[in-house]
Amino acid sequence: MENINIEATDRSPEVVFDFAANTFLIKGESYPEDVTTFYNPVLSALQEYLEGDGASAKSMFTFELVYFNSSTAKILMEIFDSLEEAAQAGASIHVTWCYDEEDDTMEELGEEFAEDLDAVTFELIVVEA
Amino acid sequence: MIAWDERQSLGVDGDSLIYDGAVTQDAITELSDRLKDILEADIPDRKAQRNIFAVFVEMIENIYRYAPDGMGRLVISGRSGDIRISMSNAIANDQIERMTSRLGEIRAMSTDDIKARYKQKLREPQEATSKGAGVGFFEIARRGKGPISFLFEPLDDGQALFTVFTDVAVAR
Repeated sequence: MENINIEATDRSPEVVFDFAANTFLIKGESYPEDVTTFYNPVLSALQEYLEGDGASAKSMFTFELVYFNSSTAKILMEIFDSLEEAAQAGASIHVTWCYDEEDDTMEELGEEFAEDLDAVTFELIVVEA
Repeated sequence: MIAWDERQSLGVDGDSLIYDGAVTQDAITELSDRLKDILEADIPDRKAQRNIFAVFVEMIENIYRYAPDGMGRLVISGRSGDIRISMSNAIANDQIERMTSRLGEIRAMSTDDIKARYKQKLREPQEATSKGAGVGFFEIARRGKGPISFLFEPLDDGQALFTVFTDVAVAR
């Protein structure tokens, strides 16, 4: 699969999906003009991966978001549901949720997503601003 | 030129930032870029900065999606040291009852209920047409202090002016 390398903009995050290394990063701010246009290719690629190599690989997902709007939150929920489904079927999936020390909302949002993850291992990490 | 009408520093009592006009994607970009700078300069409380910004984005995106003429008004003002963010746009009269009921529901919810319901709504399919309070209003409600507020003022042509506002707490 071809890697995904999307540079961050004012309103959209950096996305780095390395399918060979099984590492996945979404970092920055997310309130893009069109959430569907931005995230559909990302979601499709993720689905393809989870149904293919991802089913048996050890995958590391890192989320380092400073701000995301409610439309993005829907996408994140979809991503986490897909990851949990794959992990329940036997995939090894680890998620790291990074947040700024002072940002208790981001910490809280991470905890809320983590609530529904059983087979996926989830870690909350403080990062320097 | 798309820009805030900047009247005074944020945090001072009164209307600090006003935008009244077409809400396009360019407008969202320009206004949010400028707002980030203003928040950095005027609001030292970083948590408040983030909450104000989050409420602003949900509100302006709401106008973008639902205002029948694509026009709206955003006001960011100081109220006894806290920051009030308000949005206004025209709405068809036949929408009033539904919005009143949905927003009234949110108003009556505890913070825990709002968070729980927010999460449920994240899993619901995207609504093609406005079916009352979407996820955005839940986000606004959770970021603000006190219940979300709203009102309707009659306009001509079977429309009303729909206003939603909330206050964000700012630490001293």
